[in-house]
Amino acid sequence: MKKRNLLASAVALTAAAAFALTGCGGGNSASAESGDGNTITVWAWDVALKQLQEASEKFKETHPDVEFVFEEMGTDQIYTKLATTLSTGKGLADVIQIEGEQVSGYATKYPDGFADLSDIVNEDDFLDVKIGEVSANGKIVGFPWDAGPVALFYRRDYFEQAGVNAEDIKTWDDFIEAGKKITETCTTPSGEPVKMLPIAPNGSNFWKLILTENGGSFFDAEGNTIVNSPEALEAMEMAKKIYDAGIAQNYSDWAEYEGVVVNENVATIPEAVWMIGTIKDKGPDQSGKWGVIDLPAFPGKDPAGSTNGGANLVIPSTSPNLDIAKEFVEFALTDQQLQVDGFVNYGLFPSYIPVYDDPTFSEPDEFFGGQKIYETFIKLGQTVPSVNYTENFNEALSAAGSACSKVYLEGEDPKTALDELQNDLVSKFGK
Amino acid sequence: MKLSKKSRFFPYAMLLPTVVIFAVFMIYPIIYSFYLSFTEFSGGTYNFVGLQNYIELFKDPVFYKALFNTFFYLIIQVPVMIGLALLLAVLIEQKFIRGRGFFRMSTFLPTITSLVAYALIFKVLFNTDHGLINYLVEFFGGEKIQWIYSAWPARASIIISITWRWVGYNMVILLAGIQAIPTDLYESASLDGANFWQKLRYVTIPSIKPVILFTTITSTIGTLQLFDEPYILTQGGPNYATITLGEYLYDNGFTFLKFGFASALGYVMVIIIGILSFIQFRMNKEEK
Repeated sequence: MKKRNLLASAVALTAAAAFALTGCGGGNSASAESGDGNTITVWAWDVALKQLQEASEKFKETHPDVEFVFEEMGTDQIYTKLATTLSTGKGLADVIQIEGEQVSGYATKYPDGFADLSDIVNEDDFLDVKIGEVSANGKIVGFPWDAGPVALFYRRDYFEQAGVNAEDIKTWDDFIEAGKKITETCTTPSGEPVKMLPIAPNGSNFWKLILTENGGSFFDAEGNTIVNSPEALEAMEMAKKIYDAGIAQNYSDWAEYEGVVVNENVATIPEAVWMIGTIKDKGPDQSGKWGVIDLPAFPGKDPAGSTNGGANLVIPSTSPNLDIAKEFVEFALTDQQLQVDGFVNYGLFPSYIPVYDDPTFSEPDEFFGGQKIYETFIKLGQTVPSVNYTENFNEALSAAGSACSKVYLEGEDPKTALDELQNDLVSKFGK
Repeated sequence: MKLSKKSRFFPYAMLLPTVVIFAVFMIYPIIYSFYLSFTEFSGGTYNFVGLQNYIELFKDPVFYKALFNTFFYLIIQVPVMIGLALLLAVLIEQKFIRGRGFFRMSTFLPTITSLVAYALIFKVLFNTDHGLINYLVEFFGGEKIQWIYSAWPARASIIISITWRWVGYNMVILLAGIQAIPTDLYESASLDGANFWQKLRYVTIPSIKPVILFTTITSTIGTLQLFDEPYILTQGGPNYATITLGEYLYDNGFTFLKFGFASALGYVMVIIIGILSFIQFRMNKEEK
């Protein structure tokens, strides 16, 4: 009798283990058990999550029966989840934040992964660059959110100390000259020399930024690799010139990047609009010291915009709450007041064009010395070129980082490095 | 006594949970990833491509860099760490040491530290401008070392980090071996006039040879699969100078979504680890 009991419990245990296995796909998400059509699970990071929480409060005023579950997930976590579960569609949230440059990769690898939002996205209402990001397989697979127009954030106090006039920095050559003066003259509160800008010598961030400005990109419209184009080479030579001038502060990850604001050891940061949020957050006592000017141009060329980052929202096509999730996303990203608040509070630059006329955007920001920075970015936002990312983007990005570190750290000739990168990528991607 | 049919079945029933879990989590992935290594993932489906992934892998320069780095870590780090662990274990066992428990625990603590937390702290320590290590280097008259931004120092920083983390773990295993050595061996060695080093060489090391082999094999496998430290400390850079096979596999699978290629890389790693373990076992047998 006793034995039989044991036997029974062993079998029961096995059954329980097997049961747990089938359930583990949905273990981390509330969506699995919330197919009731009125509970929306949201994955997002940082300020975007806060913004969506505020949107949900407002959404509930008209939809009192809808419940929300918010889960803070970093980009790495979200991408690992997508990579492992998009094929089954089980265990994903209903609304997921995803960086602009990553959408087409997942949408191409998993053509049925994301719900088609063509019916709620009116292409004319959004910046071209964002429509480009969410278009894949002839569908609109994501809802465009914040764009990343790039400008040059600069420290008014350091510029003044070194006798540099921000308005006079028209080209990258001017920028280098100003940078030399500043590194010679200024010191941080802890007594270290101030550098002109932060550069990650292990990565391709800075090169990619000025490559876009110079009209180049990793891939052409057909997805062919074009990393050794004349524009790319010119950008790499300029990046090397800036780095070799000794005016760059090295950083290797996000924490160290934020650190340049905290330690006040750079005089400028060429970065996208969302840096407003980071600067305000990490340097609250630096109010009034920051300003914004256009990105310096390539010598002999007209000023042009660049883009970096910015996210979109996607809805997995298997979401049991598809209709209500779509309704929420549309509301959260087109409601006028929410877009205005998101921009002013968190630096989330709306890609929804109809809100640009809002009077709030023509007001000055005291943190930036009373400058009308929102106007500046709205003007820049319209000039941002569209970029074709393709499913090969991440692999190209990783290889480009390696090419840049060769140029910055090992003194490799830019042309050799880019030709090598081109050959390497073409042999991998076949085009 | 003859066992009834039911009782003969009984042990297997008790094993069932383990077998089921092992099958689902180990055997199934092992077989499935072997199949995946012959496919290419595109457009939501896995298409059979024969040996293409393996051919691409052996033409891929980054694979050779990862292979080189992994073996470099292995050849430098494993002997250094095992030697250090052995030395620490012997020292802790010395009669004159007081507060043995304290030393044992503090050497072992790194092993149970959260991996990400420890890697982040090492990142701060290795920081070029503000790190403690460069501060000490400068204090003793050296020049700042670009730990993260030049190839060899970056590799060195990875080796230092993993040694710090795993030396205590191996020390505890070796310590258990040392404590099992009968004390009369040491007594007779003392009577013969053996000093500390002679005792170490002729009594301790021969007695715990199987334990040393065990720690060497587990450390070898661990180093071959190394992932976290380069992933967090250096992201495999600069210019792939610190990337390991494990990190390259992760990048291909979960960042580039090339599951077929990543599986092929995984199988190449399996073969390498298998061969190395076989050699180590053989060497041990021959010496016996």
